[in-house]
Amino acid sequence: MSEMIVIARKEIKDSLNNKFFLSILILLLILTIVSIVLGTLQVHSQIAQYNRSIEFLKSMGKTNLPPMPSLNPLSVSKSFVNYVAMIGALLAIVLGNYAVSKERKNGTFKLILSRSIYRDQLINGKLGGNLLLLALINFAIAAVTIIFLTALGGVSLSQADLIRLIFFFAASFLYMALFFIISLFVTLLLPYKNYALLTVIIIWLVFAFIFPQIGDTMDMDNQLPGGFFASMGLNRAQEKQIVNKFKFYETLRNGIEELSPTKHFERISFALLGVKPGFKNNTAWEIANLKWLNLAGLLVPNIILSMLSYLVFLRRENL
Amino acid sequence: MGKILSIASKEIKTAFKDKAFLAVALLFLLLSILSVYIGSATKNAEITAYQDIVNLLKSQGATSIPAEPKIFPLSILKNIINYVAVIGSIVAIFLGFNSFSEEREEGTIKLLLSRPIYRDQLINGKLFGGAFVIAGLLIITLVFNCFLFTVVSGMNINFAEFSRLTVFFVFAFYYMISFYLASLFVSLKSQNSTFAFLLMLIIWMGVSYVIPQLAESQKNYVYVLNNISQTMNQMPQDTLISKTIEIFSPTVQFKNIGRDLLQVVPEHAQLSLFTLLKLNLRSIIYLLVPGLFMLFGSYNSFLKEGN
Repeated sequence: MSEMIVIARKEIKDSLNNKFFLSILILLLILTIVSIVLGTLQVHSQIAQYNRSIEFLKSMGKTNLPPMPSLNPLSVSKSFVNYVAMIGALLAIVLGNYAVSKERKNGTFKLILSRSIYRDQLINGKLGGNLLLLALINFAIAAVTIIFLTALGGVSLSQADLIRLIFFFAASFLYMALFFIISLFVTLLLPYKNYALLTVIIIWLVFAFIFPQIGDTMDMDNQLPGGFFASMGLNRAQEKQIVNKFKFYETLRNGIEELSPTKHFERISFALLGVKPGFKNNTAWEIANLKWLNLAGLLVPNIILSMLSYLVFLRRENL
Repeated sequence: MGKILSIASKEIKTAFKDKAFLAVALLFLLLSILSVYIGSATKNAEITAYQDIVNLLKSQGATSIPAEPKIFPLSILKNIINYVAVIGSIVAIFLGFNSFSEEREEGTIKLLLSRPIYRDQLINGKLFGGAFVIAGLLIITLVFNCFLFTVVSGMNINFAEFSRLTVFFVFAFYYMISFYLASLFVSLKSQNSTFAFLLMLIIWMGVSYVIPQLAESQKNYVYVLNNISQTMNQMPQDTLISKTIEIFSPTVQFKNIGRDLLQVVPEHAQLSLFTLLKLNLRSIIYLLVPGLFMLFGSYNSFLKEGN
């Protein structure tokens, strides 16, 4: 156990000395703050806009007034979900690649394994250290989010909001851990550092950008011109009735999106942060239950790829 | 000129031997083909949706039936805008990120410059090579798109529409070349190809996702009352802040120009090409500037570099 702790500590120290890793981390923190500041400004502006629209409609004698926009304080972090999906994933990829490539470059794999340390202890130390670092990063971002939401947004988060945030950062940790493990696995598998990194980036592009992009272009809302149903004079219920006729198309689109861990992360996050309507009255536990498929979509690949990484690392002759 | 062509031809050969680049380029081609299918299928869906709406309204006793939506042929190809904006830029990054840093790592840059070749010839050769590969990919995409468009949608495009499509591909070429130039510049400045690649990815994310999202978050959503249904809809509206933020993203500018050229905006769908370009002049300038900046930066950096 002590050997594992030593390796884990060394992993954290090495990563904190890696300038590129630190630059991405700082960028992520800055973007978190920027997204909260801009999100807060936007919510305030939307409320003012809403009030002006209501005044105008009332002056026209309208009685069918639109509902108040969501004032959910967590929804201002919407952009932040996208930043974690992109920059958080890249951060994890760099960590995973660095964990193996630095040892290869310096020839220290052989040196470490010539000492009284087993391969499983070495990989456990690397996994433990880097996953702890990712957890700490998420904890730091959570702290920054709460501080800035309270200080700038002027909102006091309820206990339920805090639990939702904790669940969101747990999902964010799982998502980042997945890309760390993919990167670790591919770098262990492929001997050339650059080739491994490029391969992981292609995998990331496919899962994080291409599948969601295909899903997005197949989305009826995006394919039909903006306001198509409204221009046809349909209300929401009638619109749903029409869209239901394209069930197969929607199933196919959904199937493509289900292949993407980014979509799983986005779906569970939007539900927890209240960005997606319909989960306002649910507790964080209830949302986790409702979104179990998305949770499994993040958890299962993590477990499978961890096992594969063990397998490759324990059996490989030339590291 | 002969030396420039030799370097360009070597760049092209290297690109086609690079498995990672080939994988991304193939992905780009597949997605562009897929986009025509998706576009055609969804346009058919729009017609079907209209027929369903008419049937629904008639069954509910409505007397006012909305007019059939007008379908502009090029709008079927609109998905290609997103694929060029996202994947096209990545293709250019994969092509250019190690142009100089790899030569430096392998020591071949000193070897090259010890031969009777000027620095500007070397950079021109790399530039021509990259431009040739990008142009080749886009020409293949254009040919495939035109062919599939005719076969799948059963529609034909007239000369004006073909001109719009061609001009769109010219902008797509410039957009991709801008990313190639940026990669070339980063590769020149960096000693390490991994660092150059990761830095370019960060720039790509910033330009293609972060800045557009920041701009989007600063738009106003005004409430609009629908005359027929009397329902309220939210419509995004540009603000000074959102427009200012967008200036820093060539991706947004490319998408704006692309949407107009490919008839996605119905109000601009039947304007002449010249009027359209005049209308998008500001976006065109904002798109051109970063690429030119990178080009001058690369020349300046390489011609004056000591080591």
